[in-house]
Amino acid sequence: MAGHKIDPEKGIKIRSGIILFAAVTCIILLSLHFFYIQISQNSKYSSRVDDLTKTGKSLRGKRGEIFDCNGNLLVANQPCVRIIASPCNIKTDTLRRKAAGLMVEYLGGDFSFYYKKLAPVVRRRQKDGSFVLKPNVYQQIARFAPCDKGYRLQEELQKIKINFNTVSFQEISRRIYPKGKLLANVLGYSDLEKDNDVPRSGLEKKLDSAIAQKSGFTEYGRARDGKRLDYVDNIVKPSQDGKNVYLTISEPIQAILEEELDRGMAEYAPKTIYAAIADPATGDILAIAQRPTYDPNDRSTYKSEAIPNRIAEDAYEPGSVVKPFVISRALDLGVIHPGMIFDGEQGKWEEERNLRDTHDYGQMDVAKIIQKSSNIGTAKIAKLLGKNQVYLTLLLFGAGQKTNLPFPIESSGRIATPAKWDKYSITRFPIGYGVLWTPLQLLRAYCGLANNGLMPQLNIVSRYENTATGQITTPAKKSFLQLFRKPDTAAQIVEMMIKVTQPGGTATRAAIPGYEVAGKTGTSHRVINGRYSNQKLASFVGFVPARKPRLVMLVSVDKPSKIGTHGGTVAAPIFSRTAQRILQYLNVAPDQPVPEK
Amino acid sequence: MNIQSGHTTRINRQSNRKVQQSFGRHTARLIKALILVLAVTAAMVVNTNLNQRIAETRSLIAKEQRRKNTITNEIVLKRNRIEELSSMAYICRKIDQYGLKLHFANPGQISKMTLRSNVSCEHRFAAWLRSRESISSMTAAR
Repeated sequence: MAGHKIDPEKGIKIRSGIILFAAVTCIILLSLHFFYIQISQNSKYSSRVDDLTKTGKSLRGKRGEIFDCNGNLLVANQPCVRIIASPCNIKTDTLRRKAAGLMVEYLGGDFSFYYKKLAPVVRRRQKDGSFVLKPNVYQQIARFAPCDKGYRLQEELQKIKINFNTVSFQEISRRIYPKGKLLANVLGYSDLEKDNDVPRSGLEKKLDSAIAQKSGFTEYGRARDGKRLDYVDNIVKPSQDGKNVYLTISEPIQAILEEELDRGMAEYAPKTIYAAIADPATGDILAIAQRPTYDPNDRSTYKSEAIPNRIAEDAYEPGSVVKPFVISRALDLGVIHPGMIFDGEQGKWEEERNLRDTHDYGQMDVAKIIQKSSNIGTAKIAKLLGKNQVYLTLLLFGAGQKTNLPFPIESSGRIATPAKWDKYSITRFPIGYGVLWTPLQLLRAYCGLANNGLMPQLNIVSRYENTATGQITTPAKKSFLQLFRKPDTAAQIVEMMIKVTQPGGTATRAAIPGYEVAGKTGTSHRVINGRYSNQKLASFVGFVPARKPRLVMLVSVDKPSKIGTHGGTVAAPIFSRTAQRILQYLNVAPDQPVPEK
Repeated sequence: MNIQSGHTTRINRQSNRKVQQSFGRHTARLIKALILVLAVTAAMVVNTNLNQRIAETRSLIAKEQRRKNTITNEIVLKRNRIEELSSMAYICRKIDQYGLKLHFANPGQISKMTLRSNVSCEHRFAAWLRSRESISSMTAAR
């Protein structure tokens, strides 16, 4: 037995060894397990934890704003708060009444409106037509509440223990138009759908690729009860702001034009008026306006006849405003010279299917043809020029070609090829019938006449500004188109067009005291159901000061019903009043001393 | 009789020494463990404290961020309001409303002076004053 006796010290050592071995093994196994969890399976478990605790929201960024050439804000973003409630979480009626009272205090409106919205249950229609009561889990209290009032309401609601689970406040941004109706048809408007701006018309739509923001994403931790764990957002993908756009439009000039169009609407009660102003030297559009129009901030003014940008979308037969194109081309090609005399055919040219003038002008030189707006004289010049040259002339001045301004819809007008002309086309096209022009095409062509025969491309966007980097980009400027071969043709036609606004001309009402005005009236009959009607479209296109023009303006009045129906009596006064005020604003010195009143 | 003899055996001495050594060793181990525990506890306290401060700072940042957002929003609202009020149409409406009969200056009424050099206005004014003084002193001398 003595041989089997174990030494106690040795026993302790063995037991210690075993315990040590077991402990080390445990530690190693634990370490291996930790390694497995923390390192090998890290992504799996991290994502599982993130799923349970992390939540995220999209970062919207800021949509680019639109300014005029002087930095006046035309389209802006307005921060506001959307208030959403889950009224079923409000336990007592007293609390509901208190909440409704606070909403009245901060958001305005009627108590019963909010109280009804905060009802714990709502009636829902079933498929079979019956109604059931369901918990009221979602109610929009306010769509665009002002930020300051929204936040104060939030604080007050928290004081009465109505937390964010019951009433939530989402910070959103909406598009506003600080100048109201100003330039509304050109700027267009955008809607807010699912927190995203959806452009509907105008520059908002066409320039969307530049001004739209790029959304980002941020995440933060939250507890099971919805409370935030991280105070600072972890931005996963930063948002990008849209570019700001600066237009060539001048807000004061635009305002003057719109004011005068309002006056024109009151005086002549037409169906529509449209007008546009451009700088002939650069082709920059300074103002575009139309009536009727709408206020993009006020949905009740959104009417189908008010929203389209008619100045780009409408094409019409403009009448006599086209005459200077053909006459100047004939002068340039040497087909006629200013001293040539044409017979007025006693006001009625029977050979050409009774082409008429308003009076018998007798023997006319070229200047008188323009001054009196003689259809017969112009038709005779066109016949001298020939069919193909007339067609080429109209093409040269931009008929049938878009101006490529950034409008979602732009009409190109219409001009038939000579092969499709009938025998009267050559006498009708040069007097503004049979060819559809858009107001912008006419404006561009007159810029060419005013700019010594160099026709510019029209521009409305001056520059883009990257708000993050401050980088400015300008759209590529296109070259000018030379209209005439002889250097003095433009000056000759301008001299003739000055006479239009002087005594004896058709547009004496377009004259501005102290300034020489060159221009041309146009009156055309509107086509209704395929026939020319008695409804008229009166136009005046002119530039001032005539010899060194600062602005070219087109005014078209559709279906004027009071006072008169001719370009000289309806459109010319609008031109005169508007141009006079703009010249004052631009501080353009008069050509002659201004007569004392 | 539990009286030990005056001399100790070698085994006794060894066991006594062992007891003394093991006590010293235990104390040393205990102190080491205590130091370790203290260090760990201190680290944990520091860690908790720092975490607390980080959380507080983050909360402060978030609060300041919210305040900044609020101020930015207010600035945007004010800017939009200024744009509304400074629009030409609004000003013209107000001029009509109050019968002020204001209009643009006639072109001849405005003249713009162009400065011929880059010298600032103050320098030019000072130079003009000096020239005036010299002229007046010359006339006084005469």
